[in-house]
Amino acid sequence: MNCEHCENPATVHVTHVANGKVVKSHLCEACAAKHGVAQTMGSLADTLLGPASPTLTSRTLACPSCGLSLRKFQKEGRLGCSECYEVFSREIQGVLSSLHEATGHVGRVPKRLHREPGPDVRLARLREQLTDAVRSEAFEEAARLRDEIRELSRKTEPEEAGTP
Amino acid sequence: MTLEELLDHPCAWFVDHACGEIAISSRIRLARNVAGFPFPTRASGAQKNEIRQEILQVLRETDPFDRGLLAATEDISPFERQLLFERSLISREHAELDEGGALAVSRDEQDVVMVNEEDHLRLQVVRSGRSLHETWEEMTRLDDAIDEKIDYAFAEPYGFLTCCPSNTGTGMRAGVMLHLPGLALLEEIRPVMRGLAKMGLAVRGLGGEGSEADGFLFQISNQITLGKAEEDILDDLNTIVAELIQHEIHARARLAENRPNGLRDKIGRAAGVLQNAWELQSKEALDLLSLVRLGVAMDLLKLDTPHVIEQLMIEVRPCHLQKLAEKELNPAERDRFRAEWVRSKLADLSKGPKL
Repeated sequence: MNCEHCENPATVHVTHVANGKVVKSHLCEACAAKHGVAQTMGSLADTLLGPASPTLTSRTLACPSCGLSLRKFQKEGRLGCSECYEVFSREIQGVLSSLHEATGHVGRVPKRLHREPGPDVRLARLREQLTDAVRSEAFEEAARLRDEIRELSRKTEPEEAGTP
Repeated sequence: MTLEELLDHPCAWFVDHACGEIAISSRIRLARNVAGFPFPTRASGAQKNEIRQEILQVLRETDPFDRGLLAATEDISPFERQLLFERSLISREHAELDEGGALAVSRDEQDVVMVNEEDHLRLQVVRSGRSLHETWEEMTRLDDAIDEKIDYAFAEPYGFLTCCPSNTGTGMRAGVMLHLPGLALLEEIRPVMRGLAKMGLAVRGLGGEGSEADGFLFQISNQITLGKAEEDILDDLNTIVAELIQHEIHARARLAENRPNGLRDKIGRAAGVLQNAWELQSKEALDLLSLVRLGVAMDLLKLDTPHVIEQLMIEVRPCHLQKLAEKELNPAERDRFRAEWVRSKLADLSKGPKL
């Protein structure tokens, strides 16, 4: 996904309420800064000074599907619905990597997805195999896996750049 | 099957099969949500009801719940829910739900589904002893059967989507309940627990999260649910549990070798109190029963019906006690009734060949 104001990839996703309607904005880091969207959601300045802009601010970031606010998620650590994972993806990835030291799932998938796993899952599996190979000092296998990971990452990069 | 029929039997997995074993039970829980609905914490009453109906409809036709108990939480009294909690069939959170939840329990109490707890579905399978792989086999069968009919919330790269990020990914929590009085008496439990925490494992008491380890019973479970496949999590847990069991066996041997009189004294006193007390508190009863269990396992005590100890470990809890008394009891009345009940059940407890 690209920024609404320029061609750069959008990495800041803001959901806010304007005139009683939910509006989503997708911006790159530079445009977000220009429009006064705080990089770190719920920053100290936000808390102390209140919303910097009445229309476009992280204070109003909320899931359009279930209404859970970022504030509430940060306070209680619970998500409201599947869509929260997309809306708060940046925060969730931070939480997941501190809890599990990983951000990608390896393991069972529902039957409807029993087709070829997507690149994210394949990459996560390869990375896990690589760790195992290094741990058991199987360096030839590790080198092969490293090359495979590089190849797959290169292929999926254009897609990956669009997501934070 | 009615709730009354279910509660009339003692938990089979705990009482009949785990008699005297260090590993009492293996338990696996999967958190699952239904795609297209907010999680229970954000769902409206109507949405929760719709989800509950859909899930109950599916479970009604799923082995082994087709022959088990299926009920909405509103149809189970708060007292009965506490009873289910005391048997480790449901979580404290589910026991305290006001409305919108539901419960499915198999006849043998080994398969359970909690509906609309923190997640839409919490599948739980428990087996006696150290049997994680057997437990997992049953869990995958159950998960597959439900997956046939319900669209699970799942997204790459996260895996199964859950209300709490601590469950995201596999949604799996696997645990083994261990009886570790030997390590506890040698005061070696704390360093062991610290080591387990460093390996990413959680140690809990009997009542689940945040509970005390009464009766030297410890539940060892995985913390990480993301980035590691279920079988690998289970293999690692299984290896560590096997090591812990060896530690406990060695601890018991060292106690017998180095502190024979101290050990005899502890176990003899525990038996003496349980056979002669007129007032017994819940924690005291559990701790003493646990020592008697150790005494029987080490041939210091003898019981003609050893599974009575496991049965008592459940019966001495407040709600079970009131069910046995068939009336409401205040705490002081409970302590007296508990002592009376334990005395009557342990009448044939006597010295073992090694005392």
